[in-house]
Amino acid sequence: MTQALRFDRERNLLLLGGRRIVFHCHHYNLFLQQTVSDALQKDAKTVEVAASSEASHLLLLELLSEEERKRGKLSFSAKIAFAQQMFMALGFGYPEVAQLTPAGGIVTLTTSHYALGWHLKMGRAKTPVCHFATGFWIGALVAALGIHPDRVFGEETRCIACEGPENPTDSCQIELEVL
Amino acid sequence: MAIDEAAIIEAISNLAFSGNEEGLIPAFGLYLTKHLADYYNRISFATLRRLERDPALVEDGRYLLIESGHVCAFHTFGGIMKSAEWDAVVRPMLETREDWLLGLVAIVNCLGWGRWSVESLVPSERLVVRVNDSYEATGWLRDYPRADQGRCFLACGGVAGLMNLLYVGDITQAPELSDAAYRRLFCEEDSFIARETLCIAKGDAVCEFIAERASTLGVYAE
Repeated sequence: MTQALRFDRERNLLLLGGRRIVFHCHHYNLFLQQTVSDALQKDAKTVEVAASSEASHLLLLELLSEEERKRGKLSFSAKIAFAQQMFMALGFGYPEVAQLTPAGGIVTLTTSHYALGWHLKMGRAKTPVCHFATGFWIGALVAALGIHPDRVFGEETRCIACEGPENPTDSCQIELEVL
Repeated sequence: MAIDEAAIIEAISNLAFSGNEEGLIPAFGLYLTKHLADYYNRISFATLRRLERDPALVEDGRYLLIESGHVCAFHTFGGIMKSAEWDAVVRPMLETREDWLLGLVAIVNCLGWGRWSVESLVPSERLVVRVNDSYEATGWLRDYPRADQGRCFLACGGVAGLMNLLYVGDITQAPELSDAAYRRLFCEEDSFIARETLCIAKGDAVCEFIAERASTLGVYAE
């Protein structure tokens, strides 16, 4: 997957599947998420999940079709494994995907960039914070199944960022449902 | 100048930052992501457009997003200039204080943000940076009507941050990058603030940013 990331040194463009990739750190990622949350209030999570789903879905569609041109038709599990490698290579954490099927299921993040960053920067969160990851896995299912984006629901039901004495957890859990 | 930008880009881009066995990218004392520009643009511009529905909140929207750029500059640029990678690659080239800024711009030119170039630098007074292919501006132009104001909020905050790190916070002395230091750098009368004077999103050929002290502009960088 990482071989597909191309750096144009003249223009300083990082391109993956023809789309711009940019380096940013956890401070910016979490501060921007908090900024959006402050401004959009109850709509912030919806906007972030939708933005992630849209961007991830379009990127994966392109990359998976490139893969299929090279390797032939890919199975559902091969497409999800590709998305898993991409998620890790881009620095978003480690996703367990064994419980993900064409009907939906669960993605468990044993590490999560956003949850870790939130803990480091903001302390303990009141509600789950992995909105980007939730949207990413919605987008991955949409791309893997070739279905309309509205057919996948996703919700982070457990988040390391919320971990505390009365809420012990060592992973984030994203539940996905294909309608 | 002693800074060899091509050599820095070669060295940094060859570090090939990628997720480790935990899917994380620890570097420069930070956790990095190679993120989707379309994601940043969508959430930033959705926020801006929502706030711009109310004329009284137009400037608030711009301020909030530029503030995110300040935070990015403070931690990312500051972290880079205090890192082992900086010491190994850039520090041997540093001869003057201004070289610190040029060295950092060379590293920015490995981040996928478009090509940054320093058009002019008056030490401790004024910085003019031009950016080709800003991901914010090109993203705006692809998805929204032509803008009547600049749309490169991250870059705007970043350019101000370069000057604040160098001439307000003296990053050459490796200060602690604390919340108090952030407020000192970005929220005082002698802090630098940046304006975007040209932007691809409003039809210009390039994006341009000018950073000057808030006191010079007659405003406070609250």
